[in-house]
Amino acid sequence: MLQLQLRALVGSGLALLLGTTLTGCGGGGGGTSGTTTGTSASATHAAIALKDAQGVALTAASTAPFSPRQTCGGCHDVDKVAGGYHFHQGRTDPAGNVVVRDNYFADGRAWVRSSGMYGKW
Amino acid sequence: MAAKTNGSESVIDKTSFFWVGLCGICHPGGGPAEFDRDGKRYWDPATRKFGYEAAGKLAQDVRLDGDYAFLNTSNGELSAGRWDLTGVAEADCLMCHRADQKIQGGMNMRWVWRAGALRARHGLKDTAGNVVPAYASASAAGQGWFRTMQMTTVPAGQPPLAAKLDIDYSVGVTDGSLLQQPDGSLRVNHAVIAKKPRDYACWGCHSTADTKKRGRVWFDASQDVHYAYLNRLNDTDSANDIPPTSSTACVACHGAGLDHDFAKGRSMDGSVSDPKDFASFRTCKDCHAASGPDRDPAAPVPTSDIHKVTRHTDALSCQFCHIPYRTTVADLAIDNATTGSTVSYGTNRFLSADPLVPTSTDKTRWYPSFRYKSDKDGRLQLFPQKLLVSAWWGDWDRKGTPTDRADDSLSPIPLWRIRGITGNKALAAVRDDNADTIPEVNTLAEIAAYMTALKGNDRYGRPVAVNPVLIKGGRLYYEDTSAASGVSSFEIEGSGLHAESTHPFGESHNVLASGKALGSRSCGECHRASNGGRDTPVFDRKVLIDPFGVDGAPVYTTVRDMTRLNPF
Repeated sequence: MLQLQLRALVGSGLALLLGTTLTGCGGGGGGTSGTTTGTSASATHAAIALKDAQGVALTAASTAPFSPRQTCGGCHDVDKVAGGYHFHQGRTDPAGNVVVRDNYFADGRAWVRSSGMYGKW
Repeated sequence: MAAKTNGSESVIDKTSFFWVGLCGICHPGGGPAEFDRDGKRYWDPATRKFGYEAAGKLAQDVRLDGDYAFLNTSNGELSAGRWDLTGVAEADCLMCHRADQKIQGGMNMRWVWRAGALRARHGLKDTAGNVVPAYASASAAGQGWFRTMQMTTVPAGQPPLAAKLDIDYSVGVTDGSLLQQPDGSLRVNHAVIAKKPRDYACWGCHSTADTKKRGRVWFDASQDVHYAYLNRLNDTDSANDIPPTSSTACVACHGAGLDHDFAKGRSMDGSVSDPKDFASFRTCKDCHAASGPDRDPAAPVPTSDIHKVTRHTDALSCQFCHIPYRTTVADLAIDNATTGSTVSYGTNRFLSADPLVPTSTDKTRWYPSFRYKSDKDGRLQLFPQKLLVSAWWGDWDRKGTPTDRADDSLSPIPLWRIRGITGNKALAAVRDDNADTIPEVNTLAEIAAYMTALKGNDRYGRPVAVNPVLIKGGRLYYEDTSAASGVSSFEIEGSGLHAESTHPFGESHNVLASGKALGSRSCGECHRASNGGRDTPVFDRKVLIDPFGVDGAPVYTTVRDMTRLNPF
């Protein structure tokens, strides 16, 4: 087995752009508004508290995976976002109901299980 | 994709647990990667319970459940999907909304890292040997927030596969993507978040389908006028150029709101949320029209003589002429029948830069065929497509009414069950009739041998097929004891059966300007009368419909025959 040691991107220089303090997203979970990078002009988003699946704030020493639902869900309706077609590919109807079934189009193709790419053979 | 409820192991193919690990590398998480078909989260780390337990079920109740079983498709072995070890893959916001891209060798490394973690499934560990929840960790891996990621060597063309992963958020602190707070907690630096996904975020996933299925290229201004225009690459001022890593050309046309339903056109290959076709989407005609609410002021209005011929603009889409050829090899034919594993043949195997002579050794180009499709304005016009030709085995249930095909069902046989019969190689009866060193099931005798073999049992003691039939070249080959070879066939089209051996992939990108479009050199590209009475490169171009007929030779049709259009 070839073992590749992949190191993450380092030293991008982003930390050089210190300056603006933003509030808003990420305020939940007991965090305080943090010093962020970027200038006002480039500030398109507040810094977001990084959390695990149970909503616990992560530190540099943490090894638990961060949870996008907990991290971004403080401000964004994750279920609305993830209810989109790009996520379900026909698994759900516009109301969010799972509509997968065999022979979806009742045309003898038992392997076609949705109106989209989900469940196709 | 396996059904939710299954009567036996033999009818199960790819379950949800499989889907997240492999197919999920090109899906953004959430939905089917997070919740089962009853709406329960597959695994809840807080309660340490599976979704089925929340529904009052026990492990033995879901042994054959398409959401909670895992079928190893290499050998058909059934086991439980270990969501408790992998966690779930939540909607991965930063997969698309990360502003700074990490590109190596043309590859989006964020996609590579995420894919590697997902594919590891329940086998992912850290360097100390502890299990790492692969699905839940894929988001962190995709951001590069790890100290070590050990990749396994995989065969060429297969997605990356990680063996070990050490999540380490200090890497993010060092590179500035994470900000450490006085209390030690971390925040995602807003500077690395992009509202508009960069093209590379889209391309990480779409490159697979779009390159393999359509031969599409991106990030090349010479091959796409819209990419060039949207990134200011079509002027003489290089100072205003937008580099590939910052390009947001994809969402310029395929925009979306908070619901993340991206504007789109209409798929040729079955249905893709058809009610949403063209919603908030501007077509060629919208932008390039002389007037109208969706006109783009920068889009040139077609004025050349060729556009004044209403027969042209009535019958032909803009893409028909402005996507005249492809330069990148795409999959043209797949054989799922001979070994039970997919054998792919590229456009360079059966097509060439000479549209009339597929055997030409010049493989620098290939040409699309065409299909009628309704455009946004409701007009039925010819659009370019690339047909993917397939050969596959099905089990044909005639429902006891052999003269009535309307009630028949035809189910593809899962490949793991075919491999159980073939041993993942061609049966001994198969000869390489086209001498390309790759065996293919194509003669009636070979087909008959497979039909006999596929009536054998799978590893669970059940017949692989009751009535095995081969779908290939637009025909259905079936067992017929009255035929000398034991096999007969008929054309599927018009038979009442629903099954496909060609799969259309629309060609809508890599639009070229007028100087390279069809008709810019000669009317004889389409019209025989302007071509000295000879066959024309467009309407008489060869279109593959079967990579190997019963004699081993490829079978072609022409655009003229397919479209039944016969321009003078």
